[in-house]
Amino acid sequence: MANLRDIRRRIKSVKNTSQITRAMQLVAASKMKRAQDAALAGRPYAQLLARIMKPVASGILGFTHPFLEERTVINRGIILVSTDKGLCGGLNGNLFRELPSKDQSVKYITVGRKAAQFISRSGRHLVADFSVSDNTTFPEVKAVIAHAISCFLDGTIDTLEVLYSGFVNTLKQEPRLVPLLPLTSIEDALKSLGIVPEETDDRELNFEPDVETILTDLLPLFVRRQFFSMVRAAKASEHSARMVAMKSATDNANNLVDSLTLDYNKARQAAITQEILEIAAATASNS
Amino acid sequence: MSNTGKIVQVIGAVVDVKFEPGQVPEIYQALQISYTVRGESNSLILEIQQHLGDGVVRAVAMSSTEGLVRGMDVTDTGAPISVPVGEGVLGRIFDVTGAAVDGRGEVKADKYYPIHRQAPALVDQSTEAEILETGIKVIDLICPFIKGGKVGAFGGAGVGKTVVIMELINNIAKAYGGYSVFCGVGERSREGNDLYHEMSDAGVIDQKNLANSKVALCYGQMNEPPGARMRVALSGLSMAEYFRDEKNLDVLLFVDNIFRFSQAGSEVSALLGRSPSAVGYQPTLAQEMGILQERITSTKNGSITSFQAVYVPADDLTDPAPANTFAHLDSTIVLERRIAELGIYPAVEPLDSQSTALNPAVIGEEHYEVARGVQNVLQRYKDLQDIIAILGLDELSPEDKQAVFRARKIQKFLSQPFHVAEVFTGFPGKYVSTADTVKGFKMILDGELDHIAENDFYMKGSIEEVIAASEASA
Repeated sequence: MANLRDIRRRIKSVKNTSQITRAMQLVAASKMKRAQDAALAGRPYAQLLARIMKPVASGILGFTHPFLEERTVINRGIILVSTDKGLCGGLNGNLFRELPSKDQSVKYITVGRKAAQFISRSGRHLVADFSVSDNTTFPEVKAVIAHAISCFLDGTIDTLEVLYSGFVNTLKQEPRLVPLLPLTSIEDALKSLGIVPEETDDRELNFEPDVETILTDLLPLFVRRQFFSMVRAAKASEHSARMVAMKSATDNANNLVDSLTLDYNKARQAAITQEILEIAAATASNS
Repeated sequence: MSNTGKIVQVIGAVVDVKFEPGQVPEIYQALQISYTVRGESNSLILEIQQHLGDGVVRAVAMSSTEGLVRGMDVTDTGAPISVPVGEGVLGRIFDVTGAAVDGRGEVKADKYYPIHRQAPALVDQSTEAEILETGIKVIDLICPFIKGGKVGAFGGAGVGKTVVIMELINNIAKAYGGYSVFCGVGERSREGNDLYHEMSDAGVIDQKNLANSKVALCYGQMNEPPGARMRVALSGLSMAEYFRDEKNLDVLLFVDNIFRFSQAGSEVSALLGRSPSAVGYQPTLAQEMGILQERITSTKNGSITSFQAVYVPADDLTDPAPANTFAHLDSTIVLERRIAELGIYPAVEPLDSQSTALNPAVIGEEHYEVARGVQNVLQRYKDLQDIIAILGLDELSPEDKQAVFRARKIQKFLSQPFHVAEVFTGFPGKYVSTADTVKGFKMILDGELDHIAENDFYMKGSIEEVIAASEASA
C-alpha cells in the first residue's frame, strides 16, 4: 500500500495538470470557433474564383504557362503544414505518417515548428521553414507560397504538393496530400478543396485587356488562394484537435484523481483501523 | 532419577509446568510428556520460554497439545531440543525435534546439535564477494547473488515466491556438487512432498543409497502448531551449520517461508504474556529475527548461502516482519503483484530489488552500467505513466517515446520461462548465462533492437531467441 503522503502529492499534481488542461481546452475552444469561421469564410471567394477559372481553363487551348506544364518528375516538393505547439492529440503524428518514406529527392517546405523539427530530425531534406500566426493572414501565407513557386519555376522541384490536416468537423480531421502544381486539372484541384462549382455557367466571359494578361496573374493568384484556404483548414483542425485532446486529458486527469482519492481514503482508513486495533490489543493485554 | 514436574495450565500451544523448588530446568531446555490420547501413545516435546516463579515454567509445545490434562507428569530432558547432524541426515525428512518423518527408520547420526547455538564470532566471518550465477535473467542482472550471501524473495500471496525458490533449487542445487538443506516453514505440506519427489527424480536424493544424497529436508508446515513453525528453521540451520563448521563445506540453505517464523512467534507471544507491539507483532520481533539471521552466515572455513522466501502481508513491504528481514539480506528480490498481473513471470520488480553485489568492483563495469541503465529506463517509464494516462502517448517528446518503447521491451524481456513452471506456461524452461543476459539488455538499451516488436521479447531466454522469433514472424 502506497504511502499516504505519496498519494496526496500525486493527487495534487494530477489536479494541477487537470487545471492546466482545462484552461487550454477553453482557450482552444474559442480559437477553434474563430478558425472554423475563417476557414468557412474563404469559401464564397474561392467559389467565385472557381467560377471564373473554370471556363477560362476550358477555353485556354493554345495558351501556355509554366504552371500548366507537366515535367518529368525528378524532385518532388512538398509543403508540410503542421502546428507550432503540441498537446493536440494525434494530429501531427497522423499527419507525419502520411509522409513518403525518406528520400533525398523529396524536398520539404514546412509551416509550423513541429513539422520543421520532425523533418530535420528524421533526416529528410528541408528547404525552408515558415511560421504563421493563429490568425492567419494572407500576406503571411503569401511568403510561403511565393518561395515554393519560385522553387518550382527555377526547377528545384518539379511538382508541388501540400500535406495538411483537412478539417472535416470538430471531432474529425484527416491528413490530405493535395497536388498544387502543375495545374493539370483545375476541377480536381477544386474538388480537393471541397469546392463544387455551381451549375455550369453558360454565359460567355469577356477578358479585358486579353486572356493572356488575365491568366498570367490569375493562375498564381488561384494557387495562392488555394494554399491559403488549406492553411486555414489546417488551423481549424489544429484548434479542434487541441480542444478535443485537452477535454479528454481533463477527463482522464479527473478519473485519475477519483481513483487516487479512493486509494487514499482506503489507506487512511486502514491506518486508523490499525491504530485502534493496536491500542485495544495493548490495553487488553495489560489489564 | 529424572527430574519431573506437573502440568498446571494449558493455553493452546503454551503449557505451564511446576517443578520442585531448586530443580527448575533452564530456559530453552526441552521437556517431554509421554501420554496416551484416544488409545494411542504419544510423546510431546515442549521448550521452556519463561520462568514464572514458584517453580513454574512456561513452555511452548512443538506439536499438538490435544489430550493434555492438568497434573500430568512432565520429564525434564536436561538439554535443549537437539537434532541429528552429519552425513546421516542427507536424503531424509525431519520435523522440528529432529525425528525422521519419512518412514525410513531411525537416523544414523554420531552427533547431535542443540538448535540454539551461538552465531559465529565477528572475526570468523568471511567478507569475500564471489558471484553465484542463477540462470534467471532478472536476478543475475539486477540483484546478483554472492556465494555465501543471504538472499530473500519478497512477495505477497500468489505472486510466485515459491516458484522462484524452486527454480533456484533447480538451477543451483541440482547442478551443485555440495550439500543443501531445505527448511519448509509454515508453507503447504503438498509443496514439501512435491519437492521430495522432484529431488528423488533428479537424483539429488538417492532412494537406493541414501548416503549418496545431497540434500536434507526439514519441515514444520502449515498444519503444525506455532511452536514447530517457530523452531524448525533453527533445526534445519543447525544441520547446515555442522557441515560448515566441522566439515568446512559450502552449503546451500533454502527457507520457505521465513515470514512464518515471525508469524509463529507472534502467535505464541500473546499467550506468553507479552504485550503486542506494532501491527500486533511480538515486541521481540527484531531480536528473534536477528538471532536466526546472524547464524546464517559464512565463515572463513565454510559458507552457508541462503535463499529465503519472505511473504509480504497485504503486499505491504513496510509491514514490520518483512521490513525487519530486509536489513539482514545481501540481495533482495521483490516480487510485485502489478507485474504478475501483466503476465510477466518471474514478477520481479527491477526498481525495488537490489543487491550489495551490484557494484562495479564485483560484477564489472559493463554489467553495472547495463543494470543501472535498465533501471533508469524503467524509472523514466514509471515517471511518465501519469502523463501517458492523462495526455496520451502522442504528446511525449521523441526521446521519451523511445524510452517508453524500450522500457516496455525490457519489461517483456525480463520475463523468462522456468523449468519448474513448464506445466503452467507450456514453454520449456531456459537457463541464461549472465554474459548473455548482460549482452541482451545492452542491445535493447543501445537501440539495436528498436525494430523488433514488443511481443517477440516475451517469455524468451537469450536475446538470440528474440531475434530468431522476430525473423520468423517477419
